[in-house]
Amino acid sequence: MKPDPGVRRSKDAEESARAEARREERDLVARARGGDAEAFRALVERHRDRAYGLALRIVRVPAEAEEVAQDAFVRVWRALPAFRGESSFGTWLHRIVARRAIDRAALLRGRRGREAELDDVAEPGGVGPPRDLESALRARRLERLMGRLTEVQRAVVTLYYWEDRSVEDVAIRLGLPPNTVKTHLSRARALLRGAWMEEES
Amino acid sequence: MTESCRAFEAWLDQGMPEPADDARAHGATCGRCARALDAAFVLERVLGEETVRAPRGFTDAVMARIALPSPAAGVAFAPSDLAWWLRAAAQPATALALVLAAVVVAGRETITAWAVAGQIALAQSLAHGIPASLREPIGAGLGFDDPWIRFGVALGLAPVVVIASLALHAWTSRSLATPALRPR
Repeated sequence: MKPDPGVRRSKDAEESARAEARREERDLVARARGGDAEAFRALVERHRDRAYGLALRIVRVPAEAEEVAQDAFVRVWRALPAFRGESSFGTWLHRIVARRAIDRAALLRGRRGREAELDDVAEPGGVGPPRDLESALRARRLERLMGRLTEVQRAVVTLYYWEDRSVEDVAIRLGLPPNTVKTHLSRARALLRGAWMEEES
Repeated sequence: MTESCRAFEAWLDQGMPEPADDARAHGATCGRCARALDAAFVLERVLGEETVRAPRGFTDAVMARIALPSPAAGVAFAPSDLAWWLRAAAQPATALALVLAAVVVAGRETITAWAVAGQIALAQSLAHGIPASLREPIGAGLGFDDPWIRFGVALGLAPVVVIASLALHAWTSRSLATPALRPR
């Protein structure tokens, strides 16, 4: 069966927009490497929501997540001259955010002796897109259940569902072997599904 | 829970890969697995939603923390295309740490003499509280003349030397960094 020309055109347009975005990003990174603070500001604007969102999912405390994400950007800025562009800027940034957030979450857990309770946790500090009540409740419920996962499982699950569901991408971003990512994903799905069903029943 | 239910859950855990005819057929006949499938679909959807925005003022806060016109200023000591160990070796902090380490090594006889004198003084002050039969060996410095004891002490001190070296490098880095490069 021949593919629908309309669908093909739309996919081509999407691909071309992505290629354009990648080109723009490479240009911004090159300028930022040369010390252009405005170019770096543009990179921060592009990546801040995901960086903060990833940190928040892992750390689960908004103030700590903000600190982790900001610190990651500062580290990226300082290390930019050594950035060779072997991976994308986003991959590099996410790796730093995830590592810092996992360390921070472990430290907080050790300090408190337990996971952050729901009251402390992620009702997003920023302004999110408009949502209906049901999806807002579902998101809140998910955030609560995420507390049952380990820090690494939270990082794996978050990146996997944000990054086109590619195990290889997540493995690169977290510096883990793909099979380890698959194991974390599988356990996280089982835990979340079990907890979700338990609440429903 | 039957064998089919377990296989169905394993399929859900793997993210519902295709082909899945057997799993779908089981899901259609088992109430519990049908609920699990519904939960899995909802979770897949909710997990994929990006509902978080960075707090207001996030970008400005990052830019304020950076507060540096050019990142290149921080690494002017070595070109960025060199290997990491060459760049590390070219850092003034490394040079200063090496100089201080050399001073320590060159003055090791003096330092060892101080350490032994201190140890003897400490042992003698403690000896007032222990039996007379033990005072003599302690007073003699716990056999520091024995090469095996010296070797054992050196081995035991090795981790301390490594940690001290790292601390020395960190301190020299902080001392030599320009204020804008210091972590805030």
